Amino acid sequence: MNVIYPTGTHAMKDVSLDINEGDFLVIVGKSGAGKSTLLRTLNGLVKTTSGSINIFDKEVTTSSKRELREIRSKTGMIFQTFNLVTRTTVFNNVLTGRLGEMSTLRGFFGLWSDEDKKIAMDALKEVEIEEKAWTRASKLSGGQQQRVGIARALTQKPKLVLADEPVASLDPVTSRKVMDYIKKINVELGITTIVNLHFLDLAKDYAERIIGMYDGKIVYDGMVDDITDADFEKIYGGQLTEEDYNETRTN
Amino acid sequence: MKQEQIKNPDSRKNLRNRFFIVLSIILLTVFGIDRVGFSPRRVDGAIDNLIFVVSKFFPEDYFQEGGAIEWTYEVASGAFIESIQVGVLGAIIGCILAYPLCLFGSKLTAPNKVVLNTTRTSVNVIRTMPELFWVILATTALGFGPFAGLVAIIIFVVFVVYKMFTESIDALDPGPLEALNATGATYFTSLRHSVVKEINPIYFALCIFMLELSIRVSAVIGLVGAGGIGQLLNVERVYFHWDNVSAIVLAMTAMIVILEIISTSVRSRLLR
Repeated sequence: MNVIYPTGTHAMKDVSLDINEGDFLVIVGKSGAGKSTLLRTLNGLVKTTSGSINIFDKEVTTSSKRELREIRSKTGMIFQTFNLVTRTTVFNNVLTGRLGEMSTLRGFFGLWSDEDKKIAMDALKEVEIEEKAWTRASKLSGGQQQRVGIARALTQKPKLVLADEPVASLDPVTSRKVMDYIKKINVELGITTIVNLHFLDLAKDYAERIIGMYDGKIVYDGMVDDITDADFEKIYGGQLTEEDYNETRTN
Repeated sequence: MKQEQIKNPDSRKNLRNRFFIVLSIILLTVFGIDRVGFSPRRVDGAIDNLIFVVSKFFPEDYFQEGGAIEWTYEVASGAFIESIQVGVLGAIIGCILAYPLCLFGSKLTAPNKVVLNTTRTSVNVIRTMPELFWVILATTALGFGPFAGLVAIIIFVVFVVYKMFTESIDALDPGPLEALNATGATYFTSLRHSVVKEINPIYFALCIFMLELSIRVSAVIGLVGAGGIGQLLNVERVYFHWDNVSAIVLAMTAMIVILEIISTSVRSRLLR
């Protein structure tokens, strides 16, 4: 995959990135650095001003609606605020992952096939939350909701999973559990995974490769073990006091 | 030791603002009284007038055979049923028509900017006209009677639902819709499985409220010729049958109270 993305807007400035199949990539950077924008350009939720994005040998920026749907159906997305439909059951939420593959008519009326249901249930089992399948999504805790979010992405049978700050609304212990599941689908199912995080320590524990973003630019791109304190300062704006630094470290 | 005074730095400004608000309320009241020509002399004799009217409203044979109550039961009940029918039908058709209009008129769910702006501008412009205008228009075009009332009520319901429902949709969390778009689902399918599911209880509660409101309105707009109990009320008023007028008004009040009790309890169940 090749992502070249120079634009007039300030969200993304001449970002260029290659991602290999099966990668577990973590993008770090502070709020507003352009991490979310980068992820959303990959599946066309945000339109690029100029540049090109090539996913699964298809061009996102010039793709037709139909092609874009195809790309999206192969790309699972996990959100910071989970984005579940709270008034319906967990199982219905996970089933919506099948919509990209279904015809408009079947999708609209929610005529799920037995296979769709099996895929959805398997996805729930993958994140070990199948016993909550018939519970209303609003009744779940944050960590459980995010696991349902992961299951929904898995139900798409994706080749690529984009996780936008998946643990930013969760407590540290739950965060690690959720990150474990995301890592697991990458390792066991071999799905290319891109995760946005703003905590460097979590990134260090899970990432193979780290992309550092600052003010819409990529300021670091390398393996996790090679990251230095200087890179760290570049990512977070270089205005860290000693105290900030230690705090983040111990976090 | 002198105690240090704790003072809001804006206190002077706040006091001044409050002074101006009170002053403008007083001025507006004085101006209003002057305008409506209120004077103590006007109130003189009002009590006597009132007693006279009440005695006309409730004559001695009010509850007796051949009195106003019996008349209402026998003659006016048909007109009542007509008003309720028009109200129910108007609410159902209006609510159904309003649903897609609301989806097109909300920032969150409009398919594109052109549809959004066209819907918003046209509805907002047309909505500025008062309901009575629609009734008069409908009775002029379609003749007096319940059909004109129905058309006017449908228009009325669509606009009220539009106003209230688009605001509810705008206030929704855009997240689930974005998530569904990200799965590759089409526009209508995404809406169907996210926004529609989230918003339906609010919509149905609104429909129940509209049912209540449109029955009320259909009873009232009869006064300008749109059929139902209002039209009968107007006829009785013209003939100075004050006892019949009061009986109809009492029956209307009872109907509205019952409607409100039912609608409140149903809505609270829906939104739970």
